Amino acid sequence: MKDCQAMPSLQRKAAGMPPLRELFDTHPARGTIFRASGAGITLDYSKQRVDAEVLQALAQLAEQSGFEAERARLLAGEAVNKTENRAAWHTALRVPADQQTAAQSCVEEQLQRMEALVGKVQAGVWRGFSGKRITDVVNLGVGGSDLGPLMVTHGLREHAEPAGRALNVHFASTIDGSQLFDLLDRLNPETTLFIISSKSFTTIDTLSNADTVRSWLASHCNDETLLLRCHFIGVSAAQDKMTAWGLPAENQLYFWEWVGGRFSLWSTIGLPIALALGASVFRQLLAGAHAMDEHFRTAPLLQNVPVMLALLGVWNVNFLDIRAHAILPYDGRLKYFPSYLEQLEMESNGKSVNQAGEPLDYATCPVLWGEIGANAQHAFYQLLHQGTQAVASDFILAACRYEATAHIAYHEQLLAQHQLNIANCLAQSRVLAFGDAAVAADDTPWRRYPGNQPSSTLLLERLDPRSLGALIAAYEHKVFTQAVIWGINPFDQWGVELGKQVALQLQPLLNNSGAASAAKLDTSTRALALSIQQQQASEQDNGGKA
Amino acid sequence: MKVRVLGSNLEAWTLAGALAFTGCRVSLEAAQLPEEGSDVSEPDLLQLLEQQRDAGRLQLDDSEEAGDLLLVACRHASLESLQMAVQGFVENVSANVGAQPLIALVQSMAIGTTDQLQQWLDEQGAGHIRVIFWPAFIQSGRALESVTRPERILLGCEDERAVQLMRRLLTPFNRSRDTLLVMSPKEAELSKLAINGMLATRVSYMNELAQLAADKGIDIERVRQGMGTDSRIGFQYLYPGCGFGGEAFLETLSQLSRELAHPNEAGLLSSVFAINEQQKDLLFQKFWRYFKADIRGRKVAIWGCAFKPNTSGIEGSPALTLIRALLAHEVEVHVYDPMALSSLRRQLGGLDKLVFAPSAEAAVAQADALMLVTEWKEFWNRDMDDIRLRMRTPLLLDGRNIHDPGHMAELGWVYSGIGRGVSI
Repeated sequence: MKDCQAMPSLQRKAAGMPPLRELFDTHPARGTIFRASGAGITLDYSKQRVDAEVLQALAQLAEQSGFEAERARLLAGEAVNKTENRAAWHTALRVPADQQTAAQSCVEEQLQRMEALVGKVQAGVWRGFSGKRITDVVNLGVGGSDLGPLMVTHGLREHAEPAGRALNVHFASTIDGSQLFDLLDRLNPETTLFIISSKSFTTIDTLSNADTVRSWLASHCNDETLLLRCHFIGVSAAQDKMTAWGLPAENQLYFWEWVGGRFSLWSTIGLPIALALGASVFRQLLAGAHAMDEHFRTAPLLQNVPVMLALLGVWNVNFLDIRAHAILPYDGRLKYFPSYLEQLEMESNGKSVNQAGEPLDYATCPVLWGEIGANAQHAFYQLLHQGTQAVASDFILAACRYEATAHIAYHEQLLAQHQLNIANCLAQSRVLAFGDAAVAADDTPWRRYPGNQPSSTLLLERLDPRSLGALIAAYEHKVFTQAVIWGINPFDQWGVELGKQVALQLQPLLNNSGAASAAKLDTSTRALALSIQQQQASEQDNGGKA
Repeated sequence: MKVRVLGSNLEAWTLAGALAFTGCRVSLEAAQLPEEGSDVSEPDLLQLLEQQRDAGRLQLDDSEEAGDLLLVACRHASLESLQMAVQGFVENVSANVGAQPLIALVQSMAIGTTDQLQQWLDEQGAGHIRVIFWPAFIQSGRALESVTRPERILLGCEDERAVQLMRRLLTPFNRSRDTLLVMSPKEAELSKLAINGMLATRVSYMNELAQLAADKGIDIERVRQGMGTDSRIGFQYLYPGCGFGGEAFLETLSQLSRELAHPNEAGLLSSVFAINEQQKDLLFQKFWRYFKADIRGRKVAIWGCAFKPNTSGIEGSPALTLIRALLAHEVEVHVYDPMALSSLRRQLGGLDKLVFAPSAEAAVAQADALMLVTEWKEFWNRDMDDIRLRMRTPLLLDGRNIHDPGHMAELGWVYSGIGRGVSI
């Protein structure tokens, strides 16, 4: 990035960039001009601190970073993930069946296998060990095998087909087993099906949950073959490991090494989505994402929604020095969207060496977090409005809502709530941008709003399978585009490996009293381990007495 | 009396035949009498219908001749469709000055329908036509008898003249003791629904107990007898089994269920339904458990697909649930039923691996399980030793508890009934 010709002019522009209030004063029409749209999504970036010159220079920055060639390589399925020498071909997962190339036909094959399985479970053909129909499904997965399916399933529940609605789909991800502990307490082992979702099928979080489930089931049925056959479906890129775990071939769904975990909800990892919402809803989700892929591939840079999201992000981080990014969906259905994006953006672009392995001397991914906007107003908006941090925000909003519920008694009231929600969304981006200039100013110091916090607003006509598919794909491509400009690999995650190894080293030390004090550990970890062992030992003593 | 009957179901034909038999002139909109093997063919009924047609008292045509009584025996999903159906009668009757024309609704409908139809007629200026609710308690298998020897006759009517007319009309069926009970239309409508709800509840309760009995190694048949001797309970509808069905019965129940619907509370009736659905699937579950889910490619014989004996009706029959579940797992299914095979063929004909067996013996050849679903009399005293020898696996899943578990065990069967026999 540093070597791009566009850099000096961008730096110069950043230094002299006037506040948003002034930008609107000098260019009142920017609200109608600074927008892009594609695949049903409108991006309003007029409240970003940019002008036409900055936009041109940012587009040049992308071009000079080799963006267009990299995009072509991504979409062609070339090995863009250099450290792992493989493709990141999530776009292939959404190519409509009739347009798939020979290399992509495996996608449709697995999709159809998944649909057949979904049909069996939803129709009551799939049976538990005692021959009863399945009423509950629990997805065991973590990271990309959890966040995407959870987010989409929650987001589109209103669009569920009746067959899906009849099925209760749950998610358990945490390594400590808390979610399972709660679920197993109330689920019926005869009628519960478990999905083990793990690309490598070695993820300890997921497999430790699966082992707990296996022992729960075994306490109700002593025929292990029957349990494995009737209560588990595996989704993985590692067939051999699924087989070794004991899953029969018919209970295995596959995806491929070239699908990154956090880009995998479009693959058979989406099984819980299809079960909860219906296979056709899942297809619509794919279609929406594909429409965004096409927009990303063909739209000019400054009219390209994902590219614009990326360029504005780079501008804020690298030129305006804004290191925090809030995701603020004004829609309760998108509750899990911020946590989904936290993984997508920060696991992808939280890097500090370039593709050649050299350290970077500029910033990459900002700290990104979020919450349902209207709830966040009662939580962290204080900091956005009057804190000392500069924060950029994405507002996400659907124009139409509650259209299918015109028959219910409180429909009018719901519509009124929707309008109130929209008013709040627009009000917040307005106050963030203009501060108290948005209203008559008050001189009391603690009532001052400085404003000038930039934001974008992503407007959907309505939140439905297609538009959500397009929205997610837009952020995926944003992440990729930024990675190209920053010169980093967004598709690996070496930063999460070391902790896993160290945990494996520590695990035996905790189980063996004496080992912790003997091991070569830093004093902090050793002291903590000893305290924990003491507390556990005294707990056992107490338990023994009781 | 000139009676016009709307509908061509069992209720329509039975009422038409019975009233013609008493001398009424009855017309019914149909091209011909029901055929043998059709859903409404009951031998004594068919015979009666033929006699009445030959005597000229039962006319099959579509003429809208003026009548004194219109019997609405077909089901209507809405008030509007009911209004459309009676329109022709209303137009023809209005010229008939001085008469007391009646419309009798015999199917259970949403509570209040009778009053609403009356109100509509009043608004049309046809208030001299009175609407009454006269629920048919017609049981398939003994349809004619249910009309000619009724346990009671319910009349939902608040018009004295109309009641007198109906009382006169029904005198031939109300002789030994007066069983006629008059109440408001709404009361009669709910009574009809409530009776069926109660029956269903008793059966599902017995089925829930049967599950407990199976788990505890108790013979539910003994328990049933123990319960039935209590005069407050009695023996009727205490048989556990593999689920109840029947179009009219289920239709009334879902009507009641709609009336009772509490959106966020599971009422008693929803449990009654849920238990019944589980019962319909139970023999499949036993089969699944017996073979530890290894059922693909096996063969099952089903005896009886009618929802009860002496009828060709299969609506809501457990056999349908079982056949679908078995076929979905690629199990070959051979069904035998003395009367209902043609109904089954109409509904499921052409399905791969579903065979319509010409005899009970043919059905069981090389079968891995025999599921007894309908307690036809001809199944009770079969040579079960001979039947067992024809099977590949001697697994008898008796959905109606017609066999003695001990005897079947002696014959070498693995016998599992509903709440008795081997617990599978």
